[in-house]
Formats: sequence, C-alpha cells, structure tokens
Amino acid sequence: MSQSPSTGQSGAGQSPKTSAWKHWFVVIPVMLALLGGIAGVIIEAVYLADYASHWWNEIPAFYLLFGLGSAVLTLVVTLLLQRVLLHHQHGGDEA
Amino acid sequence: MTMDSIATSIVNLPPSVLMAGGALLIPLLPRYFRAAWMILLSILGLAFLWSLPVVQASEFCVVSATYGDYSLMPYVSDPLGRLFATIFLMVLITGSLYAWSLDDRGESLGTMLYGAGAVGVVLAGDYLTLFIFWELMAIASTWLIWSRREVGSTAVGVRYLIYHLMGGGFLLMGILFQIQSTGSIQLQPFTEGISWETLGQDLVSNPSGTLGPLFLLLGVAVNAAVVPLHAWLPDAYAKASWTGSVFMSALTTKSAIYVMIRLFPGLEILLLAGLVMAVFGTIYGLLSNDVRQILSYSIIAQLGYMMAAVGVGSEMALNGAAAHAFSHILYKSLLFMCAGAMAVYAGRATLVEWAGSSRDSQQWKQPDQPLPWGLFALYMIGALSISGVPLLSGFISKPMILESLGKAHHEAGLLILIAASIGTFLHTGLKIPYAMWIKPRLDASSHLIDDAKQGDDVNEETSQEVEALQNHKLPLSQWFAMSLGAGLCLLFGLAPELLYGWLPYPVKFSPFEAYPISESLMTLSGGFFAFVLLRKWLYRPGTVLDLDWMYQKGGEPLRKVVVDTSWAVFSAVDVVVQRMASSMRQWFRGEIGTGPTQAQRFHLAQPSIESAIAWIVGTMLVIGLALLL
Repeated sequence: MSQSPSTGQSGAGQSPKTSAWKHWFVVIPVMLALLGGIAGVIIEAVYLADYASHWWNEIPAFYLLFGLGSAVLTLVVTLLLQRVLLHHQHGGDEA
Repeated sequence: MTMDSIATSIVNLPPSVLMAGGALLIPLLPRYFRAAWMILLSILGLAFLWSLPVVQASEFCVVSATYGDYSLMPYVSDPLGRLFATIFLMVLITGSLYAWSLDDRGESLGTMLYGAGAVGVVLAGDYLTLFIFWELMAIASTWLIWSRREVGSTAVGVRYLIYHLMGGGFLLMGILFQIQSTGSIQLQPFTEGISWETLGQDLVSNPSGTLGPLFLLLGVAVNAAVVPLHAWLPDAYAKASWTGSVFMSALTTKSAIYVMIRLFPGLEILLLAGLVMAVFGTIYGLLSNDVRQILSYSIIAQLGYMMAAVGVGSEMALNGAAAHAFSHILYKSLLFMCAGAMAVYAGRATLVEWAGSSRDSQQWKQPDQPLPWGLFALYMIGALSISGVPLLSGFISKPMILESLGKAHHEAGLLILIAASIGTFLHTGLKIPYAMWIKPRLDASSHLIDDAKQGDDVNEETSQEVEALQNHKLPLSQWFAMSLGAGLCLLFGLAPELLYGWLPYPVKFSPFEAYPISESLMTLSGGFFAFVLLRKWLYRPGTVLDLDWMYQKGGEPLRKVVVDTSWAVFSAVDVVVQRMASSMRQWFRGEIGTGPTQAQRFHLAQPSIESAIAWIVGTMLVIGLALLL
C-alpha cells in the first residue's frame, strides 16, 4: 500500500464511523493517566499523611509534580541533544 | 559403581555441561526437533538445578576437581547463582519456543552454547571455570549477530567480538594478578573494595593485589555495558537476528551483573556508574528511532539501577539488584520478542516513518499493515512492567532498589533513578506504542483497513490490498512464547513472594504498600502528560551518534601514530627481507661472490629433518619469547 507523504495528514477522506471511534485511542490513555494520578494523590493523602522519610514527603503530591517536571526536563534535554547527536544520513541504512 | 552413585553423578552434572553437550546434537536434528531439544535441555537443566539443596546466604560445592595446585569448583550451588541460572533457563525455554520455526542449525547451536556459557558463569565457584564459560558466551553470542546475514551485521559482529575479547583479556589479566596475589582461584568478594585515594601507593606496595580487582572490574564492566564501554550493546542488539536478540537481551549483561554482585558488593564507584548509566540510557533511548535500539538503550538504563544497588551494597540493595535482574530478563525478553513480531507486520522499525514529525513531514509514511491489538496488549505488559506499574514484574524489584538507596541516605541518587524510570516509561511505554499503534490509526489512510475489518463498503482494490497484507502472519509458536513471557510478568507481579523466596538474603520489603504504589502512579501520570505536551518534536529522523563515535574521532591521531608507524616499520622490514632473499638467491646461483660448492648446494637443496625441527623449535621459541615479553 504505497502512500504519498501528503496523505499523512489526518482528516482527509475518513468515514464517520472510523473518525468516531478513533477518539478512544486518545481518550482511554488520558483517562487512565488521570485516574492513576488522582488515585496516587488520594492514597498519599489517606495513608501517608504522617509519612516523612525524606524532605519531599512533606510536599503534597510531590511525585506528581516531580513526574511532570522531570519528564519535561528529560524531553527538553533530549530535544536539545537531537541537534547535536542526530546524524542525518543520505542514501539508506547505515551498516 | 552402584545405581545410587550413578544417579547422584547424573543429578550432580552441571547444567552448563549438560547444555553444552546436548547442544552438539542440535546440528544433527531435523528442523522442529531442534527447538524441542533446546526446550528439553533447558527443562532438564532446571530440574537438575532445583534438585540440589540450597542453604540461604551460603554455598556448597557440588562438583570439585583439581588443576595443578589449584582446586576447581566448576559447579557451586548458592541462592544467587541458582536465581540467575533459573531465569537464564526460563528465558531459554520461552526464547526457544519463540524460535520454534527457525531453520538455522548454526544459530540454534550458537544459542544453546551461549545459554550454557551464561549458566556456567553463574554456577562457577572459581575464576578458571568462570573465564572459560565467559569466553564461550562471547564467541557463541557473536554467532547470533552474524546469523542475521544482513548488510552491516558482519561488521557489527566483529566489533562486538573485539569488545568482548578485550573484556575477556582484562578479566584474564585480573584473574592472573589475583591468583598471584592470593594464591587462590576461588571466587571471593572484595570486601575491602578498591581504595581510590590510596591507589597510587597501593600500586607500588602491592601491585598484584591492586591490579587484580582493577582488571577484574574493567573486564566485567565491558560485559555490563558500563558507560563509556557500552557502545557494543545498542549496536549489536539492534543488528542481531530477531530471535538472537531475545537471548542476548537476557544473558550477557545479566551474567556480568551477577559477577558484580558476587565480587564487588558495596563498591561505591558502582553507585555513580549506575546513575550515569540510568540517565544516559534514558536520554539515548529517547533520541533513538529504531525499536530495538531504544530497547537496547533502556537495557543500559536498567543495568544502571542494578549497578547502583550493587554500589549501595546492603542486603536489601543486593536483593534488589538480583530481583531486578530477574524481572528485567522477563520483561525485556518479552519486549524483544514483540519487536521481532512488529517487524513481521511492519517490515521496518524506524519510528519516524510511522509517527512522522511536524517539521519533517516528508518523512511521513503510512504503515503497510496496522499492527494487531493482541500484539499491543503483549507489548504493553512488557512496557508497563519496565516502567514499574503496580501488579507487574518491574514493580516488585525497582522499588526495592529505590528504598535501599533511600535507607542509605542517597537522596539525590534516589531522585535521579526515579527520573530515569519516568524516562523509561516515556520511550518504551509511550514513544514506541504511540508511533506503532496509535498514530498510524489516527492518520488518514488507516480507515481503509479499519473499514475492511468492520465489513463496510470497500472497493475491490482495497479488499485485495488488505488480504495481501494480512498474509504477514506471525507463527503460532511466537504468539505462544510472547503470551508465556507476558504471563510470567503478570505472575511475578501479582505474587512477588515467589521471587522473594529465591533471593540471597531474607526479604523485609513489600511492594504492595501505600508509598511505592502512590509514588509509581503519580510519577507515571506526570510523565504521561509531559509526553502528550512534547511528543510532536520527539520523532526526528537520523541516526543517533553514540560516545564511540566521539572517541573514534578523538582517537584518530592515536590511530595514525600507532597504525601508520607500525605500517611503516613492517614495510621497511619487508623491503629488507626481500633484498636479503634476493641476495641469497643470487649467491646460491653463483651470480655474486664464489657461490656454494657442489656439496653445499646438494645439502641446501635437500633440507634434513633435523634442520626442519630446528626451524620449528626456533620459531616457537621466538613466538613464546614475544608472548612472554
């Protein structure tokens, strides 16, 4: 099935049925991630209110913020390194 | 010899010897019997291994022998070795099942010898046995890279072999220094570690005792893919045969981790090395575009976890390192099996071609065939396991390492490892599945295949295309092997006490407590939304340059000096030798000087047996002297 690069744009020529259930590919993971995050915060609030093994345990929902912050930092560092470490080659696979 | 003693001898046969001996029959067997024979050998190995009693935190020698003044212990039974041997044999069973339809005698033979080498290393009680199986592993695993028989795999295999022979050379030097220093070849932990502050003084006062552990550490570090000695790993695992990479992901690096636990518990530099590996593997995993290369870099990150735990050195940390090696083998072999299955459907594994990027729209291509959701489910069990999601195998070991770091007050290290864990989730749990399953279905042309499956009105041309594409069928044995791998990830994730009972020290840890569960859920949730925000820029075309590229560039002047000088010296010697030979010939023919007499000419024309022996002995002496020097 050869496709021209331009067909990579979404939305062109889709049937209504496909478009409708495609939303679930996005909705389900987002819902799961949201629920997981909320469950983590609730567990911390209910069971770990007095837990203070490290200094950051006193910050509510620290791991949620740390997860978001460290992931953003990791991704930004990766995007910066792409400019230096990604080698663009011409003429096929490199041995 | 009574029947009892014969039975005892058979049961006490080292599993590695059983496997290596059985492997020799593989080339004689027909196609489907080969995989069955490999599975049978692995099951027998497991049965032999588990028939022996194991005492917690101690070892006993099952088989002993003598070599000169040294007593060998080729088969030692202790909890740590049994744990590693068990998981090696388990992965040999699932991997052989995955390779059921493989029609390559050489690759099957190489796989079994490779497995025998790995099992031999973790059951060895002395350095000599360890070294022999170590080298068997290096040579047999190289064959798995060459078995790919594609452009580049030969060169990659040679490079891999050079790395591992170099590592083996360091290991041998360490062993020789160690024997010289202690007079013993028994594997014993270096409880005093290596003192970096007094290294110079120690080298002068006790050179053998100092160089022994240093070279041993260096030799093992090559196999453990410690940065910057790691470049062979992403290179080789991405180029090995599809079935070979499943075994390679499990055996080489984990046997090195075993040796690290055995010899260097509590060596602080390993904590630092582990943290560097965790961060490095994560970043490079995110940079890569090839599925197997991403998985390879994530191996380096996970090895970093284990290495950091060995560096901490407490009982909980060493338990964590061993447990994480076990879990890692389970989910990583599953992920590599899924990567092979992806290739069957996709025909290629470059993520950029699947997911595209906003800036490089010319790179966008549509998949030939959407990957099945069944494969997605199996892949995600592996990906979520490596990310440390509760109820899966990674969750029962990773928090143990984190807690050991927390208890040792390495708080910065603890946060770095948590960040690396989120990074692993980003590349293995999100970047790959988004590109391979989600993005293609969100793109325009995927409606053709979706509609075909739903029985909508599809034109004839489209139906034919879908039918043709669906001919890419995955063998049933591969589905079964992946399901078995996923089942094991679930089993150990749900019942961690199964694994905890096999660990070298008593376990005082439970993953199913509020703290590790809430930490895992929150960090992964945060990481997910960061990916949603920044995913568009993550898929960029190109080949990632690893550190070896940098030191190859940096080593260019050195190469010129060493290689070019040697070349010049040998060329000069060659010219001199040729001139001497020419002069000799002319003298023999009487063209210069008086030439030989008739008697001399007859003697020279018919060399005697004595002169031949003299030449051979002389040559051997020269070679021996050169080696000695």
